Amino acid sequence: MSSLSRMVILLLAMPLAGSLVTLIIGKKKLVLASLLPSISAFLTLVLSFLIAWQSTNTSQAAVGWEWFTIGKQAIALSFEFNRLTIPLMVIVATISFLVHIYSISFFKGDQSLPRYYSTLGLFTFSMLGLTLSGNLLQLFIFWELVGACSYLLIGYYRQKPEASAAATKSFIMNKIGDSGFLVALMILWSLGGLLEISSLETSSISIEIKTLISISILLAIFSKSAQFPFHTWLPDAMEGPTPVSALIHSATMVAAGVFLITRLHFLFTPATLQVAAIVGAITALIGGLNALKEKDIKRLLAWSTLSQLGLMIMVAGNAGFNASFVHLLSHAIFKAGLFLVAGILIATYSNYDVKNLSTQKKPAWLVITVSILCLSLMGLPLTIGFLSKEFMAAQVQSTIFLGIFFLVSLISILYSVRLLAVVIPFGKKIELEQIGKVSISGFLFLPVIILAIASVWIFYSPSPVSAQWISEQWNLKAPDNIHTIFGIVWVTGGLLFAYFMARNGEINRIGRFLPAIPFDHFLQKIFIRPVFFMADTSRRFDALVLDKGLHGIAYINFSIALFTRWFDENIIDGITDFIAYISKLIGNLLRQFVAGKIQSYIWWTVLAVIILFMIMR
Amino acid sequence: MNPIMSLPVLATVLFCIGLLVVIFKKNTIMILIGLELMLNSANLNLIAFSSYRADADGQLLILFILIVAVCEAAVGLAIALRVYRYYQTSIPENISELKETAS
Repeated sequence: MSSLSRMVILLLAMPLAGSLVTLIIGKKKLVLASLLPSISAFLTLVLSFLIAWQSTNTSQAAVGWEWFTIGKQAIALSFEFNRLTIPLMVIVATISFLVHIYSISFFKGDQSLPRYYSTLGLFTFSMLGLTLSGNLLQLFIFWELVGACSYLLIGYYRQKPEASAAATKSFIMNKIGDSGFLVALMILWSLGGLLEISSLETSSISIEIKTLISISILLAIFSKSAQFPFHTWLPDAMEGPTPVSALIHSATMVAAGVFLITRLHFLFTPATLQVAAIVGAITALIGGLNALKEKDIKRLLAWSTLSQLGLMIMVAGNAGFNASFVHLLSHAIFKAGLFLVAGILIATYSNYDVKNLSTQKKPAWLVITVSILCLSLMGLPLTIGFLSKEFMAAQVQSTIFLGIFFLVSLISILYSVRLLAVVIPFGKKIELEQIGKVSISGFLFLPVIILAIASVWIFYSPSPVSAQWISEQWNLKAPDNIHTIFGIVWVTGGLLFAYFMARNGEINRIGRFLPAIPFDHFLQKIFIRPVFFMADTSRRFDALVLDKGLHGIAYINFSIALFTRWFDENIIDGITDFIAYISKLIGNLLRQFVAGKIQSYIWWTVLAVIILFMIMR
Repeated sequence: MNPIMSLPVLATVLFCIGLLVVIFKKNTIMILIGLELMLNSANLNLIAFSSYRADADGQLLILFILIVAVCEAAVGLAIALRVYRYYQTSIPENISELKETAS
């Protein structure tokens, strides 16, 4: 066993062990319940860096063991290391660690802390497993596990009925998509057990089958990444704790869909990609427009996540898989940061409303971090958002989608300015109140600062407008000058436009002009009501027809059984008893002669002799 | 009629008495006595027939039979005594160790 495979086992075991230990000992010692998982998350982070370093140095692409065998088909437990899995693994471990330490302060004194931390550990384990999996069956298991963890964490505040409803909703919507994944697995199995991703890549599958498989997988991707028709679960999922939203519902789990489409890009045929691109575009627009209307800061961020995910799926649909993967990584960094900031704001000012939050005074460090993160979300030059968006734009060939791309990025600038307005009072002098004071606990402060600093371009490339190594590493077409210049002009222009709107106080009013799309209502009417109706009808059918029929059959059976019993007891047993009675009678008669009395024997003998004499004579 | 020929009649009567005693008496001692009676009725027959034939063989045989009968009686009495010691009864009907209990 190589040192790499040992490290992978350790990487997966670390968060899992933290999760179990917390669950066992956490109830008694609340301090340990938050510290131990954080330590294990830190070790996971260190291990992930070690694995990245080791696998890059030794250029070992995979480790694997035989898992089990069905028939002649051996299923392997394999982990792959390539340009997709390693960066995502590092990002997942990093953000997980930051969220762990952030939660120490965020949940201080919460009694159900052990439950939170153990689920978080389980999530980290599953997400790392999902990232590294080299086998589709194994990936599917982790895929389900992250869904389950998401369900548990959305419903963390058990006493809130909205939270449990949102958890159920996300779970059911994810299950609908996961059925697609299952179908794809079945098709691949029927093709001779092509579950290993590396072997799948080199196998030749006919284009029709490929379309079938990729459409099924696309369903799973749509539900996990909250794409249109499934997008409504993501804003509702904001009922969960804010750190969870940062980790699961912006940075990692929802990004698993984009990761999967990139990982399995060879399966996707032009027809499927077209579907993905259209759905992605629709989602990006829906998310962006809803973000303009939304008042709740967390839901605003959720809609913006939706919009960004839509963009990634759209670009992936235009064959720019690696570009959307790069954007996935940068989006994970700045969106997690934004969510963590939102958590601080909500906790300090106990207010959700974007407009109300903006009337209070903020400390300088918060202003700066929010500004950097928001600029990154807008995709302004000097941020990683610009770099990754630029790469995405360069991959899109079709004019229509390029148009949608720039439209969505303009919308993203507008809603980002709404976020920015929370910390920076634009325009007219507003009297800022000093209500709450932001508690500068190191645990809250540090993750946000780290993520904000990580959003600055300088750590990724010396030039703020292009990154040579990214395009080399991921085979990306470097954006040409026209793209870059147009991008800079467009984004800066958009920012200026948004700034003037914000100065006039118009920015929060845009939403009013947008039509409200009650999508949940449609879903309710189209899917949920018929399902309930069908369920009710079948219940009645069961009760009236099936149950009655069953009862009738049972009654007949019972009657037959009663008759049979009577027949057995009286006729058959009677015959047997009669025979036994006769035998007993004969026996009793005969045994009188052999009663054990010697003298009677003699008597009978003598009698017999006399009779014999009489006969003989 | 030869007076000797009335002896077999006496023997028959004795034999019948002995047989009835063996069959109907309950006590072991009495049964043994009945047996003795039947044996001696046979001896009587031997005497009767040997004197009828003027032959001493039968009477000689009786001497042996008497001795054997004495031994027999001694053995029988000894068994009866042992049985009495063991079962605390000398009535054969009451000795029912092998008999199944009446159902």
